[in-house]
Parts: sequence; structure tokens; C-alpha cells
Amino acid sequence: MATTTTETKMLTLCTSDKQQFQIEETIALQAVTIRNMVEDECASNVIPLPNVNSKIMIQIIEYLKKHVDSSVSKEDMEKFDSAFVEKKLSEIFDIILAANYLNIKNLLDICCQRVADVMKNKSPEWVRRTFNIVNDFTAEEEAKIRKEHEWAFEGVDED
Amino acid sequence: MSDRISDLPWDILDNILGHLPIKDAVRTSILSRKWRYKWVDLSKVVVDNRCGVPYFEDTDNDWLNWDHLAKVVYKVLLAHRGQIDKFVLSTQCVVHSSDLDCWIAFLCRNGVKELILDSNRGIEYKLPSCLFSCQQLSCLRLTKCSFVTPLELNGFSNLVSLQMESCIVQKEVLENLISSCPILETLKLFCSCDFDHLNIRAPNLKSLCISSNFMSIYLENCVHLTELCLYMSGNFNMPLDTVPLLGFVSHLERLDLYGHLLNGFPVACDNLKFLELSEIYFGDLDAISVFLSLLGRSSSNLKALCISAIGVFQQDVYELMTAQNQLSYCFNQLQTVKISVRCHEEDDIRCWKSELELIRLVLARSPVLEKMLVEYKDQEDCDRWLMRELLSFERASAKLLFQYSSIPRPFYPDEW
Repeated sequence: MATTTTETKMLTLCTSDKQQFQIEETIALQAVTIRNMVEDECASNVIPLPNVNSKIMIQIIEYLKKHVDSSVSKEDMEKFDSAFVEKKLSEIFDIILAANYLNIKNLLDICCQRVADVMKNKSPEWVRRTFNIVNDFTAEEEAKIRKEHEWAFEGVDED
Repeated sequence: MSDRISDLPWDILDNILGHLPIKDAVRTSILSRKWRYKWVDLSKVVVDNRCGVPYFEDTDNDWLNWDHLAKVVYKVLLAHRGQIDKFVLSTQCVVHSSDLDCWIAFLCRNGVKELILDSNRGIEYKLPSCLFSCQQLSCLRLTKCSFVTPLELNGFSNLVSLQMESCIVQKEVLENLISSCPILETLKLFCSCDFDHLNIRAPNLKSLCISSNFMSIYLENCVHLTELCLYMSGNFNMPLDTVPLLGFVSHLERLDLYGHLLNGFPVACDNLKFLELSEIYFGDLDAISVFLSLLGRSSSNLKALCISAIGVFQQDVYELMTAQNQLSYCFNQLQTVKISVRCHEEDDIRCWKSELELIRLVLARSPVLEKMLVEYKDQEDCDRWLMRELLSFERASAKLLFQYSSIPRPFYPDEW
């Protein structure tokens, strides 16, 4: 609220590329890793986050700022979330790793959901191309696996 | 882009693949050697209709559909290793109980925590007794099941969330089941039962949602309730004579009711953030006065208000509504309002008078209002008159987005 007069406590987060971000403590504490560091008092005024770079941190702060706001309805929050994950896969993977490290469960879940949605009902060839997975099976091995789970390969989308 | 996905830590991959139906997860076994056996360690197994392809819409082929699906589930469970935390069966097939009994027994032995059975075809599936000794369950969602709990029901000591849809259950069994789940927080019942009164004793309950033919429910000791959603035909009977029971509504943040259930509803809800009333009849003075009391008491916390009204003109309701303008409360946090009016008698423009007073009140007292949607059931004649009225109202919020439109279809209360 703009009108609150109580002093808001700030935390400084320092990313891997030595950028500093000043954010309200209530926003930062949604990340369980940060909360633990603050509670255990192992962090002074500057919290080092060596596994997150500033580019990703900006996006994570955007997410946390929205989610700290209790006045946002469930529906609006879902809308925000689905717009938030409309990013390139490489960025999604960066956010996944950061969310995993910072322990922000919902953010991790929506990003994992996003990756899952990309794979859903797609052929193995399509998935390999999209995620740059190198097929190291021989043709015989591949045929054997396909035979083993024949049901799973039927009725997938056209590439 | 390089291959980012294959070397992700297992927890993350498990999370990603857990969002996929098992068919998609199994298909990853062919991606590369690293992926060969990832799916067998998945903590979530989601079986949906697509697992049984080819799926025949034709009901005569139903046994064939189930046959396909069942074979897949047996194969998956046989190949799986480690713990299955969550199992979902979502199918349009008629369930064959001998197969499902076997899977549930297997899952319970292996410590399943979330069990979701979602199949609404055929006759009710009679739950096997082994389910009721499954102590580690934390979430149980059942569709079209029938219960006969064993006499010496231990209860589910870890159950946090229970949802039942179109289930057949006796009153005693249901009450006993609920009260023997000591940490239950969420209860959803969407069933029509052959009894009309339900006692709910769940001291940790936070969210209760009932859509049923019940005439009354009795909430015992639900002091932590923050979310209450009731769609029932009958009266809302709440014991008001003891202090702890009076206390329970004071924590409510979300209230979603059929309008007629307001009669006799305790008004001490000072913390309401979301209020939604469906089919509230503007000729019912008692219900409207409870509504206005709720509005007044929760005015400082309210964030969203959604009313679907059955409009009718009644002098005493209109007077009560206009009298609100004398009171001094403000909706300092109210951001969204939706008011739909369907006139009780077609083409009677007077049916809007009381609702217009409500709109006037809200517009004048809500400084941060962002969105107001006013919906009407098409009434050619009063359209311009209504808009003229609406335009004349003073607005406290400068950034209000006002929308005025006809009701797109019959109202469905749960859509907002």
C-alpha cells in the first residue's frame, strides 16, 4: 500500500555478476533459501546469490513482486503466471535452475509445467529437435524400445 | 541452444515429467540413453484417456477401451520402481472394479499420498477396504464412488484435502469419515445425497465447498475456516449460541453463497476479502439486510464483490438500500465488482431501482475501484434509462474501467 507509514525493511541481493538489487524484505522472503539465510542470520545486509545472474534476477523479482500482493485474485494470478512463462525455453531453463536454488515452489512448478506443455503429445523426433537431445541409440535399439511401449507411440501429433 | 534438459537434477525432471500424462512420460524412454529409464522413477503417475488409444467413442466398445487402458496401467505399475506419491486415473471408460481394486491395493502398499479417481461413467465404484487403512494419504479426490467404510475406521491421520463428486455415501459414514481426519483443511462435496442434514466436525478446516441437496449443515468447531462456498437448496442452519462457533466466521476471507442462504447467516465476518452471492432475490428483505450488514462490516477489507441478482422492486428493500447512503463506511480496498441483474418480471424497469442504489453506493465509496461490470438481461426498453442513471453516479475512483453489457448466457455462479 502506498499509504503505509511503517518503515519497510529492505534487503540487498547480490547476483553472480555482482549486481546489487534492493528489494523489500517481504518480497524477498518468499524465496525459502533467502528466508533461511535471514532467519539463521548467516547473511548480513547483503545476501550473496552466486547461482543467479542479474538478467534472471530481474525476472524473478518481477514474479515475486506480483505474488506478494495478496489483493490479486486467484484468476488474475493465474493470468499473470501464464503470461510470465511465455518466454524462450533457454530462459525458462535459467529460471527453473534459479527457482530451484532459491526454493520458490510455485515459480518452479509453473516453469516445469511450461516445459511439460512443450513436450505433450509430441513425437520423440520433435522433442529431440526442440530440446537438442542427441539420439545415441542404434536403429535396432530404437526399434526395440518402440516395440516395448508400442501404445505410447500411437496417436501423437504430426510434427 | 544446447541440450539443457537431459542433465537437469532429478527433482526438476521429476517435476517436469510429473506434469505429463504417463503416455508422454513413457515416450521419453526413446529420446536417448540418458532417458532410457527416467520415467520408471517418476513420483507421479497420471493415467488419462489417451493412454488407452485407440479410444472408441462408441459405448459398445467400452470394454475394449478399458481393456487397452487397463493393460497399460498394469504395465506401468509393474515397470515402475520406487515410490508413487501421486496417482491419477482420469477416464471416460466404465471402470472395472477388479482391476482398480488391485491398483489401489498396490498403491496403498507403496505409500501413495495423493489419489485421484476421476471417472464419471457407469455405476459407482465401490471403494476397496484397503483404501481406508492407507494412513499416509494426504489428498483424496473421488468421483462416482460408493463407500462402505469398515466398522473400525481408523480415519486418515494425514489427510489434508478431501473431494467427493457424485459419490454415494451414508450420512453416518460421511460424518464419521470427516471427523476422523484430524488435520483436514479442505473439504469439497459435490454430491446429491439421500439425507438432508450434515454435521461437519473438522477443527482444522480452512476451506469448505458444498454443492448439494442438503437442507442444512452444522459446522462444529470450524474455527479456522477462511473459505466457505455453499450451493445448497435448503437453509443454512448454524448454531449461534456458543462462543467458539460464533468465532469461526470472523476468519472468513472468501464467502460464496446462494443468496437465500444469507437468511440467518452470522454477520460477524469482518475479514471478508471476496464476497460472491448468486441468485440473490431483491425482494427478500431479510437476505438483503444480512447482505448489507456483511458489506458494512467487511467494507475495509473487501477486495472483490460479485452479485448475481434476481431483480424485483420492493419498497422496504429499496428504502433499506437508500438508507445505506447515510452510513459512513468506505470500501478502501475494493478493486473489482460485478453485478448481474435478471429481472423477475420482464420489462419492469423498476426492478433495477434497488440494485442501482447498490451500484451508486459502491461507486461513491470505492476510491481504488479498478473494474466494474454491470450485466443485464436484455431489456430493450430500459436500456437507455439504465445507462443514463449509471452515467449520473459519482465515482470515487479515477481509474475505474466500467463495463456494461448484456448477460451472455444463463448465469453459472462458479465462473467468476
